[in-house]
Amino acid sequence: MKVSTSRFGEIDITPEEIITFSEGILGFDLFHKFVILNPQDGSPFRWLQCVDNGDLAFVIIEPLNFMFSYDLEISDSDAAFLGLKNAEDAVLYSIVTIPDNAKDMTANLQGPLVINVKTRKGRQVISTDSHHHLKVKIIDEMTKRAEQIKDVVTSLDSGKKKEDGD
Amino acid sequence: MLVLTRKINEKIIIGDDVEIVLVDIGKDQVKIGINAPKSVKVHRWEVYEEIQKENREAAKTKSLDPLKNLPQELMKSLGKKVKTDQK
Repeated sequence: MKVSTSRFGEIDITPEEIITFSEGILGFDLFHKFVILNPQDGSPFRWLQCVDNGDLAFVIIEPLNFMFSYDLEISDSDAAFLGLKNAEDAVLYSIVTIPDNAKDMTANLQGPLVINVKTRKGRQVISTDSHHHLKVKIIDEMTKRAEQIKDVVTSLDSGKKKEDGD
Repeated sequence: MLVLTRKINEKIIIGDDVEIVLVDIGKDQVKIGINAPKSVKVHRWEVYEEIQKENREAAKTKSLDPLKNLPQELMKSLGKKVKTDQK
């Protein structure tokens, strides 16, 4: 089926691709059907394009593309709503806000999107973890992550050296 | 709107299983306890409002072109997921 969008012109989608957010995205409760558009260049930024309203689209990213770890506790009611039985069926996305200075772009980790890839149902959930903030600077997190990776590698190396010494 | 007057430790019941108790009264704030089944979402109203506002802001993005001006090295490492075995 063809959908005309303001950002990408006419796009061709199959019904199987559609993800249903039956409550909509917070602030946009009237629009329920979306598809994820993957970039050609392998970039982790994707678009969540609304099918009911061609003007509505969000930039989304998986938190683990820029964070070292992101653990979300999915509540029983959210799991029931999504028909989620196995954690592996859940894909998490964060909505990205890009201001005029793209360096300051932020990801919303307080209201992540959870999608059950099996049922193709989605919901914007509200995290009860006080460490999950509304505006998390993506570039700062990446820098932090690079440091954390370095630390892990260093500790692995030193552990190995000790073994060699014995 | 229904307005009820309650004293400390007095309760209100909503439906069959949502219980609200007035825990404490301060100078300009009150402490409220809520007993509800797990299926009932309870959040501070501001949290909803802030997420709605953030979503509206995010929906203004028309293209990813501004990202092209960012350092390419940074953008390359962005896609990589770090696999950890820890839960």
